[in-house]
Amino acid sequence: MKLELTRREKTESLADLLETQGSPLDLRCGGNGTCGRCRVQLLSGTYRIDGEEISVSPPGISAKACRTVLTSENGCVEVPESSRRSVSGSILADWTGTPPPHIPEPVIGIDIGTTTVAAVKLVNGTIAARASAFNGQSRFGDNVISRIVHAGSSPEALEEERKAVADTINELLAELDASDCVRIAVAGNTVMSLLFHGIDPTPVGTMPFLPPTRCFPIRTAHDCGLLSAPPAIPVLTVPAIAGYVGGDLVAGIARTNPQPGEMLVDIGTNCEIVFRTSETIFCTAAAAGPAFEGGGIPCGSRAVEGAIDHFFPDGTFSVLGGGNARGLCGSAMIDFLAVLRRKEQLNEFGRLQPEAERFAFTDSLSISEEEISQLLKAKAAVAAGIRTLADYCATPVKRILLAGGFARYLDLANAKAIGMLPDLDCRIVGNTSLAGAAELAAKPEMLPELERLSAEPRELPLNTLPEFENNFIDGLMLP
Amino acid sequence: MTDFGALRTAIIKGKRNDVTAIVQAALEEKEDINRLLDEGMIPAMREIGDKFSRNEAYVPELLIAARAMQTGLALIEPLIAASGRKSIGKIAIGTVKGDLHAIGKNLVAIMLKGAGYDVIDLGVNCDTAKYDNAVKQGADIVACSSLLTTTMPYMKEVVEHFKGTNVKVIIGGAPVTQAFADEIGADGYSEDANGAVKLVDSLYHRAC
Repeated sequence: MKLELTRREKTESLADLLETQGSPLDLRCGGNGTCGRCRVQLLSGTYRIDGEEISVSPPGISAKACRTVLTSENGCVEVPESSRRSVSGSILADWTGTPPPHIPEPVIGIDIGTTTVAAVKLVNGTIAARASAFNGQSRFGDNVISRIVHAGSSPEALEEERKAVADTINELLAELDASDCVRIAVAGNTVMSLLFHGIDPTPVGTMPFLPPTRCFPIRTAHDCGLLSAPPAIPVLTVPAIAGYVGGDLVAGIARTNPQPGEMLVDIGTNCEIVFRTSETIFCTAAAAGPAFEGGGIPCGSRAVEGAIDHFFPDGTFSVLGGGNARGLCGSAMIDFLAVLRRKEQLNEFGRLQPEAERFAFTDSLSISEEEISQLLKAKAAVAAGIRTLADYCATPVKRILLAGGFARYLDLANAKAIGMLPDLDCRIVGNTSLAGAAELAAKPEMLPELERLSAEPRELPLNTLPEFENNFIDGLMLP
Repeated sequence: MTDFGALRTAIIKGKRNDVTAIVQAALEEKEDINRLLDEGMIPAMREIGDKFSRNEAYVPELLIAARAMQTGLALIEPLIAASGRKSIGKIAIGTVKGDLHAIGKNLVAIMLKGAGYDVIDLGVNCDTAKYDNAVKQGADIVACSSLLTTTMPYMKEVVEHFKGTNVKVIIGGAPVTQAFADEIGADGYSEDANGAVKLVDSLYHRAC
């Protein structure tokens, strides 16, 4: 899309300028110039790129918008579709599992994810409407650490992030029509919950990674800035367990009620794991990184329309929502590793056989060996997290419950074949964070029970267990 | 007779059990420690490191090889002092205060050992007092690692702490950049483990 620009401030980045003109760009690295997702073509005008002045001739210079400033009065840029930040994430509005509680008044449950915010409206025990959108905080970075750094930089920045997520939620509330809603409940990872309440998450950023609070007061929609809902209705928040094991997992525990030997695993940028033994509940988190969500993988994509969700042995693939393939989401990346390894087109170290630098899915989509190594690191983190926790507890794992949006599209046989999941009974349980939030909205009397649940698990920092590194390195290889 | 070629291959392919078997057999036959290092282990790490620099190997292979290297080193480390081997430099390495991520730091430590340096591994969550202790033990380069943007600022404190001394401070880790290193006045930065070895080589004025 071609856009005419008028300069506002002399130091404003092109990314910020485009944002004000209604063309938000993909700033998943937080506008630090590292991911290269916000590239635009400069067609006319003069610019400063990383401090260097340039005038555009001939037109078509490619530049990272976050590192570029328009220095002339006017300019013109071409914004490729791939650089735009998508504002709807509707495919992820997934909810499976046992039916919601039966109450006549409409209530709304919200799952605040680092990437995606999903909401569901319940009426009379049935799902009346669903909605989801990308978290508006994405422009401050694609991971919780970037969000912590930004929020901690000033009270204004903290307020910016609080407002960004409130704005996203307001869009969803408007879409669901919250005007007749009597209660709202939210669940999210600990940093998302803190930011929603406008609490500075800085302590979560460094050892011992303790959140300023695990439990949150019941506030009104008005106080939470949820202006699309009746102002006086209560907003409840699922309490968190620890800095990196949040209310989303507490909601998951409440929904799935893991039995001794059952492990609840939520695979995302951060992979959270809860394991119940005969004595107690343990929990931990492993940094899998954003590779499965497309971070650092140019052909990668989130699970949105146009993403390849499955890759088959004959080289064909399926695309979410049909249409042209615009990228691969995590489930297709796992299929890819499994399919090529089975055909011996990948060796145990993830190197292409016969030697090649890239593997092409289509004319425009391909993956390099270096990017494959990123996938191996992500799957190794998940595998090592599961194995290290199970070994530490000295309890055999009977069953794995897979929660979260990523698991929804996962081919379990392929995930096992590449060694990401152990060869055990695995069940996909859906977005239990969203379901748990909806349940709390319908049954507010369960909040004390959730608080009790959130205090129960013992947190195990993986990095303190020497076997984690060993399991991680084992996990890097393809069986 | 020790098969140095087999030892190198075992390290590069990450075959820990093979490395253990070859090194143990060599030690039983009273093989020269210096030969084990100079003809087996150090060239193996250099080879995988150079492949990495040429984009012919990636982090997983580097980690797998480094672990095999560490397995072999652990067997001979107690004997190195007695072998009269001359130190080419002593480096203290640790993940900075507030951070407990170790895998990247451990990789750099093994690569440095693999290049023949003495390495004092201070572990994670290191404050300036920990680095000081290592300097007292003879380290003249302090290497700081951080995986979290939230813990990077502590590197500046380490740099300030050693300002005006002979100790050089070098930094690295996923969120760390050359620009950040310049900003805080660090003596060096590397974006990866093999680059860290080259950086240390250059700080000791050795040929790269």
